[in-house]
Amino acid sequence: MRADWPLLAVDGVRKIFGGGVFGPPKVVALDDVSFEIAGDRPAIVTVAGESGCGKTTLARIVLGLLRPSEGAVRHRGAPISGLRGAPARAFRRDVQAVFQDPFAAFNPFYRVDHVFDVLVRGLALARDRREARALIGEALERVGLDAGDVLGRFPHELSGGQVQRVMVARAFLVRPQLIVADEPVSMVDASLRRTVLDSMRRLRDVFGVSFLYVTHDLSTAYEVSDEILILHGGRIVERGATRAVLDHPTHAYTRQLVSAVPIADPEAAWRRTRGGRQRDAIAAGAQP
Amino acid sequence: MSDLALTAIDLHVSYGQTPALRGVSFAVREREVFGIAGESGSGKTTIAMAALGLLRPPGRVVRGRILLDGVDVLRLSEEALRRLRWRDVAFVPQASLNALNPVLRVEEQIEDAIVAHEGPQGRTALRGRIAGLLDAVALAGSVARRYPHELSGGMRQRVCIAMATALHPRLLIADEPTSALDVIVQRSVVESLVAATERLGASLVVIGHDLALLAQLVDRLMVMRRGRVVELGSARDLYREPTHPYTRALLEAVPAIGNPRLYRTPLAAPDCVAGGRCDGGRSFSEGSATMHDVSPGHLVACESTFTAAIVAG
Amino acid sequence: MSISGLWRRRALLAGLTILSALLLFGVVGALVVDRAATRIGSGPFGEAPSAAHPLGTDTTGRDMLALVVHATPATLEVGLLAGAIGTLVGTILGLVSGYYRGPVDTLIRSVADVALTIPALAVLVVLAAFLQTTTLEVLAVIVALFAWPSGARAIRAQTLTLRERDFVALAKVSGASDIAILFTEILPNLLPFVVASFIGAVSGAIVAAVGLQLLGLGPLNVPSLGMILQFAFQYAALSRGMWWWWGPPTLVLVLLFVGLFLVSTALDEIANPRLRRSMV
Repeated sequence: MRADWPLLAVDGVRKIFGGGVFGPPKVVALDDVSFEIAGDRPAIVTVAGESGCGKTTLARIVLGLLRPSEGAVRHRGAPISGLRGAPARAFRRDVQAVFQDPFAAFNPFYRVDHVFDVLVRGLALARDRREARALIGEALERVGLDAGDVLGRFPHELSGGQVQRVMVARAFLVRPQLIVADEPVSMVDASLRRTVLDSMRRLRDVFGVSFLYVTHDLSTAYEVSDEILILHGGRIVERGATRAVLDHPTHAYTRQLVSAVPIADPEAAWRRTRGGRQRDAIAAGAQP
Repeated sequence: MSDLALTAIDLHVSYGQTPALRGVSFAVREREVFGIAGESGSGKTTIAMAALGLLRPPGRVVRGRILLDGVDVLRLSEEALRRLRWRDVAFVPQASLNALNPVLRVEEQIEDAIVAHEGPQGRTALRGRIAGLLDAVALAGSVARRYPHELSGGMRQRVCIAMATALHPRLLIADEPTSALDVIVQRSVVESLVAATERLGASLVVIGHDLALLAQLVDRLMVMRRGRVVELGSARDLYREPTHPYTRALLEAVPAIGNPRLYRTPLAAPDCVAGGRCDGGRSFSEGSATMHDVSPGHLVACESTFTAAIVAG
Repeated sequence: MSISGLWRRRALLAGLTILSALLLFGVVGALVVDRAATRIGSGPFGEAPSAAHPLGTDTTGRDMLALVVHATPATLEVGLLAGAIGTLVGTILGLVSGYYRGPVDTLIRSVADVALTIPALAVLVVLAAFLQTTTLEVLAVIVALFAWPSGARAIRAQTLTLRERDFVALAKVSGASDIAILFTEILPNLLPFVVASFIGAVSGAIVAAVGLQLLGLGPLNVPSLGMILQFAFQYAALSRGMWWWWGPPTLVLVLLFVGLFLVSTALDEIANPRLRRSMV
């Protein structure tokens, strides 16, 4: 293992679904996708695109949940598909995940504790129960939750904000180098979105955690991320520093994506630009 | 009151002992797109449920009135409400809810809805009508023969819009109509929804938490917090001259590319315009009990009484 | 509560009542009624019900009440044992098939499809004749050979959807092994399906076991419902009007199936999510 190998390298990844003799037609979900996350300079890297662009497939491949059809994902130089035993655990400790729907990430059969227990057992993080308790308590504290408030309860007994924070605490428990966050804020409202985005920034700045932020929401990407990859039809069509790319998009698809982002200004509303009927007369009408 | 599609007067709703709406008044005008914004727990969805007569125990209207074309919805029988829904007021559910029946083809669902309200009718005429409804939301005729799971999220939501417009209602209520859809699909679904409303000459109440999205379609906007109206006015007033600190905080929280800010900030807190002697005695037609007029049609909750009321529970 | 929910509860309650009554009848009965009366020649030959023999005796002098009392738990045992083996095998194969997919899945699915389509009884007849079923346990194992496929199918279908759920992905990311994921993440969510397929397997196993016994291919030295019926048919009890011979075992079997059917329909509604109605 060389020190100068990147934390994670996605190298010419291609993913094809279907295409068997009797199976569904062939779909190329990802085509020649390559990028690196260095790890020594913590960064938030956005993968953006509309649904069906392959971004979730990419997240699952990076996490080792799917195998690429061609190419490889390397963790410090070693292809993750071949990892077993200790190197596999080292990869899991380095690369963690937060999913879109925090409730779906809980097995409905178990109490909240289960997600922590599985992690502690799976990655051999503690020697005994007491040590495990201490680790879990500390991780929960870091996201502003009290262990007594959440442990021993079922996920549906907690609020949406609490379960999403439990998920962040779970990911952070192993002190990962990289967290793959698949649409972590697309199902939450404004104040929770703010909390989640702020905690991403804080983890990057204070704890040196990098993020692979998978989203369709360019405006949140613009706020928090350092680099961006625009994915369209399974290919990276544009990449670079987030602000540079979104302020001056060059690819036609990026421009289309940027223009679809709603701006909080009724003067620039879609219905106006599309020649919707003149509403001002109604809006200006006197109070009944 | 004939130029008003929906009026709520001093509406109080509770779930058990927990108040969800604490005196909300507003009036949606004919052919208007009226936005209701707020975070979860603000009571915005409760308004829709109450207007549709869909509140279920422990939810109940404590007091107040909801007038739909001059008829008090809260006094109607269950049967009268059932007739009213779809025909007079239709609902477009959240995109993430998968409100369609998974085992029925699209045309069967729309047919069921039409037949349930209009009685049996000729199959050919029905099919033609359904094709027209789908075409109006930019869906190909072949979608009629598909099952919901064969459609994308955006297409399913267009089907919901087509169903909602099937009986030519005069009012559409859409609760987070594009939640969980991505930006490009979101835009086209919103455009379909507005186009469908305009074609019917109907009014649209759209409920959401995304102020940037609401800015794309509303004529007027009402901002809710903890069951009360915080601010209400034309889209231009709310986005260009937001007066209440909470409205400003919501606007500040809207992520944007290039961060365009449309209003001066910081602005002096909206002290009681009556110099702190606000008695709530303003004769109001819209908003909560103690609202001030900032300008004609632009109302803002009096901060001193608002805070006092929240502290008091 | 909805009408179907109410019906489901009543069906479950009625089914469980019937099954526990039968179990009680067998267990308590076996303690009270002397097993010696089931021996050939222990009583008068072919007598109609009387005070001494409430259900009469058969042609070989066995007391019918004693026979039915001791036969009921024996038949239940065959059904439960075969059902348990079938469900265990079916559950494991279904889990493996749905989770790993690929060639393993193709193999398991093909075998299950074949097992479901070929006439099981014909194969069982050959097997039973070949293996000489001398005990009820051997009979149960043979019957279990065909008790797993439908359960395996149901479990596989559910596993296919569960394996895509986020909590399974999260367990993988947490370093959980495949075995741990199958048995601690997926299996607990399948318990209603496992129970439903167990009930189905038990009913199927009892039918198959009684069928084999009617053909004379079961153990004849231990009393079981199938064995009594086999004797009854062999000695033409039906045409001789000896209703007390074939009647009681048939009644117990019918009650057993009704009980199992009620429980399984009630569970089916729990296991299969009911069709959702569209909103408004």
